[in-house]
Amino acid sequence: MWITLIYKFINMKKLIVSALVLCGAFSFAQSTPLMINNYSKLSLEGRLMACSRINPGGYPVAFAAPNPPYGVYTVPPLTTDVEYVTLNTSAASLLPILKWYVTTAGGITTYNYNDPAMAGISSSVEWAMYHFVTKDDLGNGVDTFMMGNPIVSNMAGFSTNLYQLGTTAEAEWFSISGMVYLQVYDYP
Amino acid sequence: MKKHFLLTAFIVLGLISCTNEGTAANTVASMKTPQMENYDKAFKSLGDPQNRPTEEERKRNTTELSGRRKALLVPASKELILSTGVTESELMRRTGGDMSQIIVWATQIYMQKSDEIRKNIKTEN
Repeated sequence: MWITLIYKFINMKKLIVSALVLCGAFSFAQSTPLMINNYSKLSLEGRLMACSRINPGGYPVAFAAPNPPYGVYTVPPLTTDVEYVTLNTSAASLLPILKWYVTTAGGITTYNYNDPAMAGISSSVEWAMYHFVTKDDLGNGVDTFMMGNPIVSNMAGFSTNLYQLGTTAEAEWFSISGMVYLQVYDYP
Repeated sequence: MKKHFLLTAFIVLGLISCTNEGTAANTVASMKTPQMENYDKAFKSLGDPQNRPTEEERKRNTTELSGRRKALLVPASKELILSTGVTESELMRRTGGDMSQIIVWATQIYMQKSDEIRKNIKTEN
């Protein structure tokens, strides 16, 4: 009895996830590559997120798991050419992302980047946010940056900026014909 | 005793692999073609004081890079595309002279070349 109930519940969850993913796939959103260039001497540590531009709650909302060997998603100092073509090819990058934490109305699920579900999720989201702290070589936090596309990240409840000036770094998020770039420079 | 020996061996191995990683990273930079370096410099130059987004550019309601700042990326992008053997007329035919298309095409070439360099280094090690 209990087993069938649990089984049914899991199936429901799967159904909801698939329905949401399908919704996304048939919408007009499309995933485009993200390129991160950290020209600064600081390390960037935080949360990289992609979400839907149209679905309520921004679902599915995908956060990058920490790239090994770091404890949070990290772009080391003076590290450029970090490209993610899609979420489901994120392991091929200079800074590989092996897992994604995906939130839908059904809850949070951890997927391997190459899980079959990730292709659908990837095509229904856009790059939305990199919320990070800049850290010096001693590991001290300097500034907090909320970088991203405000229109997309707002769907998931995050306010982001296209341009932000900190005390020792400046950051900007822009696109060129759909391709998304995040660049961080030393300042002044 | 044996445990200590193994531990030391692993630490030494770890250190060696870390050193190798450093040299590999350095080599990618040193193996970039002059055209790739110029493409790099152009993107980095967007952070130079005179190239930063102006007050007006920041107020625009779009993520698209402004025309003024795209123009800073075009010469190096063109140079990179032409370095692959594409002719000037072919470049114009494929992009219609559109700045965005030229830059995105150059970015694709740049990433492809970087990947090749990285793969070559891996096979050499």
